Amino acid sequence: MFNFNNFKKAAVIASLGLALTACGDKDNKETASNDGLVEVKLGVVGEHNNEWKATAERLEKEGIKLTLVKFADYTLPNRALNDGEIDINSFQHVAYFKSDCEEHGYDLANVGNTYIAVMGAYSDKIKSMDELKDGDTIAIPNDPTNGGRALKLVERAGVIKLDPAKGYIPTVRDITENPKNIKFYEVDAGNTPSLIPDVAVSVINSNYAIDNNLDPLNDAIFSDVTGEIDENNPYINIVVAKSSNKDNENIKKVMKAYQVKETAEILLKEYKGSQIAAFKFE
Amino acid sequence: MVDLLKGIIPNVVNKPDELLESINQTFYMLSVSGSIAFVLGLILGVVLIVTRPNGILENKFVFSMLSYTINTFRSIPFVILLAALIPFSRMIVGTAIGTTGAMVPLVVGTVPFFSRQIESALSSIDSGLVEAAQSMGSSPLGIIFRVYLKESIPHIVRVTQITAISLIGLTAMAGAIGGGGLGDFAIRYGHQRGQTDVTYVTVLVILCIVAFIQSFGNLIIKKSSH
Amino acid sequence: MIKLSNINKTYYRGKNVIKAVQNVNLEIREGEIFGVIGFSGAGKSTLVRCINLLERPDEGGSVIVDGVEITKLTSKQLREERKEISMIFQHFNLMPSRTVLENVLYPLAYRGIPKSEQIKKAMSLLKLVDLEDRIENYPRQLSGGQKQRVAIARALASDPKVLLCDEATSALDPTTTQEILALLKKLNEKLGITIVVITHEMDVVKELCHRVAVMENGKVVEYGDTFSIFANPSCEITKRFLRATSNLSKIDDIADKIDLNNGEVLVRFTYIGKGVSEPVLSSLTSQFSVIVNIIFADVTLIGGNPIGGTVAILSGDKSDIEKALNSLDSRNVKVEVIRRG
Repeated sequence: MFNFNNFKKAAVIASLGLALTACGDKDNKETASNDGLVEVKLGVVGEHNNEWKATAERLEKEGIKLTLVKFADYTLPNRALNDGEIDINSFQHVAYFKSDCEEHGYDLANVGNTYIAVMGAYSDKIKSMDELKDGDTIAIPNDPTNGGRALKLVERAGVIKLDPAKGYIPTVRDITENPKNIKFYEVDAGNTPSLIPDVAVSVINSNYAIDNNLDPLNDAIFSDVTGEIDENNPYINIVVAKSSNKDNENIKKVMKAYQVKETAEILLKEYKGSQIAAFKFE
Repeated sequence: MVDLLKGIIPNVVNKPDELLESINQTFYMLSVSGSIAFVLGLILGVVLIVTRPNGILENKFVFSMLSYTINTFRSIPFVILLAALIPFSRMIVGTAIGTTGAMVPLVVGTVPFFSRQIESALSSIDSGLVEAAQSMGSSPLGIIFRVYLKESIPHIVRVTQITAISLIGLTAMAGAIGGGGLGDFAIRYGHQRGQTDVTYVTVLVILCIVAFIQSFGNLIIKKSSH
Repeated sequence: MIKLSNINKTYYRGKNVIKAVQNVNLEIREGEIFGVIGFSGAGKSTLVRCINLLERPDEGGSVIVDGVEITKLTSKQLREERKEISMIFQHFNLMPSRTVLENVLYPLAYRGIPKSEQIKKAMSLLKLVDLEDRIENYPRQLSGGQKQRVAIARALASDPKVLLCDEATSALDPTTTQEILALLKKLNEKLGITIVVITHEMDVVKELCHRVAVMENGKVVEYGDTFSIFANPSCEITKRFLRATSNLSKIDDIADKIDLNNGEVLVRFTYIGKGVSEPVLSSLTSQFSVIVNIIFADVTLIGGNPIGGTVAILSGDKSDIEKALNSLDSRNVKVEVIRRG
């Protein structure tokens, strides 16, 4: 007869067993695997990771097996890293990293730059931001991060001045100078490309630009990533590890293998110029 | 007094002009798209009633085509409709952005719903009344105005109230194309930036609008019920 | 006034073919009150709607009203023609959001008549139906009889030649029914308007109609003047209708229980012809020395002629009784011996 008590006992033992094996794996980062390579787990989001695949090939020669662990959305990789399930992750920019750690109390550290995704100003009416006339309209994304970034872009183009105290997430209310009386329309980020005909300029994230057959390198009349990338630009994407692991030798090797010319070329080719290498290389 | 308000609802007190503008935008969207949707929805609802099987202007083709089109549009989530109608908006009102650009999607999002409401209101008219009007030599147009519409006034007011309040909800989504309005104001500051006092105040204002629509409508219903 | 020829009405519901009206031919004379009686589903409502074309008869049917072939009119012409043929309904069909006066004004609007004229006419009609003190009331505030009177006033507003009444009294109580029937009779006499009455109540026909058609399953099974149909029904269905209004059949239930002395005869007399004005039964006594003991009688007048009959026990000399009974043959009285004692 089915004895529920026995079943309960068996269930408890089974789960304890599973927990133990899980714990065991956590601390075994340095243990050699079957083929003599050291495994480093890298958390990513999405399907576009060819530059990491190329990096992994280079690392095999140095005795490191770089394993990509794919996550379904942005809220998971930092938590997984914090819990020790992965060793490093690469999916976020500095601004998101700062706010996510603050919100959840993670103890994580930036171990190196990867790329920066471009934001650009597009227009079907003018060829340069200087051509903006009095009373023209500009469409920007309506969420805090992207909207703030768009305003900083417009400021960078010399059209407006923003309250410096608001840092990288200003709102339209923080415009201190607007000599051309530009009217800003705050719209859903995904709609910024389709509304180009209705405004003088539309500020568009690179991924939405590409989805709408726009070329960030050649079609944008202004970009917020030009020439030297400011080290303090909060939109630089980074690789992150646990603070305690910051100086780990293997992680340093991974970063060195990534930050090379080949990676920059893959980024340029794969993302049609919307993702630019944010590290120095020969 | 101002200090008290500053303490309770600081994020509203520091941008009263934007709150006021949102209210204006909502009113503008409600009144213009509301009026247009009312007229179009009324016409389509009447067409449905008269062309249906055994209707006074029975027309299987028109009825099924209209029904099918209405069902299709009603199945499209409004956020998607907003984006999909951008080119069409441009054609009709010259722009797809801002409060003006929101008019076309708001009308297209409301008319199918309202026409079904009108159809339902008019179908509750006793068929005997229509027969009596026919036997007295009324033309189809005469029956539409003098029987269907005139005898359904309380019912029509009621479904208009329902639709108007649903329209308020739609205007909240107009922010996706820069339409502004109270809903967008609450979303951007209250939801995205965590300024919950903004949310409370916005809800309060919308509540006042809803209450007004209800009372005003009820007054008309009372006056026209016998 | 109205000539219906070869009227058929067929409905198609999916695979079912329903013949609501089959091969009906009727003529309704100007100024008469014509009844159409039948049970529910007999097709009478459909038939009457063929007269003002609320239902269109099948191809081949002809409806001629005052010389005009209705089936061949354009929509516009039909609407004009409908002003000559008014209709009242079982459930009145008054517009609920309009007052009594506004309801009567309905058919008068949009015809180029000045408003003051319209009101004058409406008021005179409301006076005719005795409702001038209720002009500001709404239908909701009226009784059934009052509503039907408003409906009649409304129907008369366009000065029609024909008034169609579809079960007009079926929703009213007996007293109110009588009032409405009296009103219709008065209008027929005063205005000379031709009235077509649809009903399932024989009493209505008895009270009101000059001639009547009996319908069953879409067909007209009998038609003629009311008296003849009542006096001499030929179809089973007509007899069923009559039995419903007559007491005479009750004798069949109690016939066996009546005590008859030797030589007495239990007889049922039925009046079958017009002109039975002489006191038939008392003449049996005076002429033939037969004592007539009336058990019960059910006699009404249709158009001034008595219809119905008497059940009586005759007693007296056997040969006298026979002679008496035989004499009645020539006097339009049907004799039926139920039992002999």
